[in-house]
Amino acid sequence: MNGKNPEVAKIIDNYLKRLKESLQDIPKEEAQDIIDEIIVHIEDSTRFDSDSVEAVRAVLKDIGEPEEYAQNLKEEGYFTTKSNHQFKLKSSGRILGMPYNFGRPTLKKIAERMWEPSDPRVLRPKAFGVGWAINFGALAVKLRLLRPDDEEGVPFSNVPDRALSIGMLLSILLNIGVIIIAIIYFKRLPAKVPIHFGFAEPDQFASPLKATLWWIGIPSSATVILYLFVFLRKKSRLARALSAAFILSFSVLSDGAYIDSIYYALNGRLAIHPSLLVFALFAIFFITLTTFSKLGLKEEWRKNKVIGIRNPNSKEVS
Amino acid sequence: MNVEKESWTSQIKKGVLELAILALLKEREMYGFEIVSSLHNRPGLSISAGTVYPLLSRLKKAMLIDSAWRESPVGPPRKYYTLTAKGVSELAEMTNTWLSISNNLQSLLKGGFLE
Repeated sequence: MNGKNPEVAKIIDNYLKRLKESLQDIPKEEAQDIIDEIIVHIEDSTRFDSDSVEAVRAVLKDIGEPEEYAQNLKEEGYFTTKSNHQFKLKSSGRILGMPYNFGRPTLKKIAERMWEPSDPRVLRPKAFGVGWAINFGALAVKLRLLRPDDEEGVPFSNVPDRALSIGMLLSILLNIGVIIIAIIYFKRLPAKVPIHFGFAEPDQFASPLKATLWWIGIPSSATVILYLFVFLRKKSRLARALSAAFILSFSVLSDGAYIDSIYYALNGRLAIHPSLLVFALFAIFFITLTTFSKLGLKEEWRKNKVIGIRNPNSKEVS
Repeated sequence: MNVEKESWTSQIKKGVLELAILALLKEREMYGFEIVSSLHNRPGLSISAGTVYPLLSRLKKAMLIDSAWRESPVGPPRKYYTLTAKGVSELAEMTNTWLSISNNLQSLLKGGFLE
């Protein structure tokens, strides 16, 4: 090393050793390249003061802790980490043009995939899993229900609690309604009830009890679970908005399918075409989210007005 | 508030520094230490070596610059950075964007928004 002073040499060696250790997960040549560059940098920086401990310390401080420096390089840089080298899959990317993402999903990430009015693309790679996700926010903009700048920092963070509860209440009522229908019709059902419709014709049958549990049990228990764990525990508005929109649309699909099953068992034909139910699933999800978003924006404007005019200290208007 | 302000400053700097580095390299090829000290001589653009090298790495990843080890007139061999063709055109675009932002922002800050 450049310093004749053994203490300077020791400080530099120690630094480079730590840097090397922090670069173990990138290919050797690339790690060496980084280290060589830093050696030259240290030499250049201490050219006129190569024996001074203070000067070397200052230079190393300017580069930063070796671990942190290595981390920054890895985050910004062109390096292929060793795991990529061994053809391990990265947590996200594309295979044959099909996007995938198995990075840790968070509710916020998933929500932003489903709802981002400012991004005009309706189909985008999924936040988790393989394939594309629908950006319902962009759809709302395309249908001129929202403007692209109608966006909250965290989606749905201003939706009034009451609106969220009403969304949840609707699916509870819907499920109760279908349970009542099930009780009324249960005894009249034949021994075999259709539980699956290929595309219009039934192709799977089950006993009335199984069919009822399948079509009503799943949405009802999902409703109860979401009510208990998301609404009663007052999870974030984002969580409640997504839960309410999901369970409402899912209940419409399942309950509609159950009504179809009964109707077919009794009348030999369908009441509602299954494709219409699938369409309803998406439509209701979309309408619910759009409604929440509009109510949230209204609330935000109202809050800003209240804060601005009346009470600059009140942040929360419940 | 202070933390907020600091992060704002570093965010701004990061974006601007990419442009500054590309502009430096448009003049001539440079090695890391030269870039750090050139920026150091310009108040407002001064930045630590610990930030410059990762930035260079990022620019290289974006294929705006390229690098090669070469003997230098004085001292040891050094890793020289040069602007690529893509870097040249990107620099022109970034310069336009920057000028437009800075002109508009300046008139805004001078009170143009009151008109």
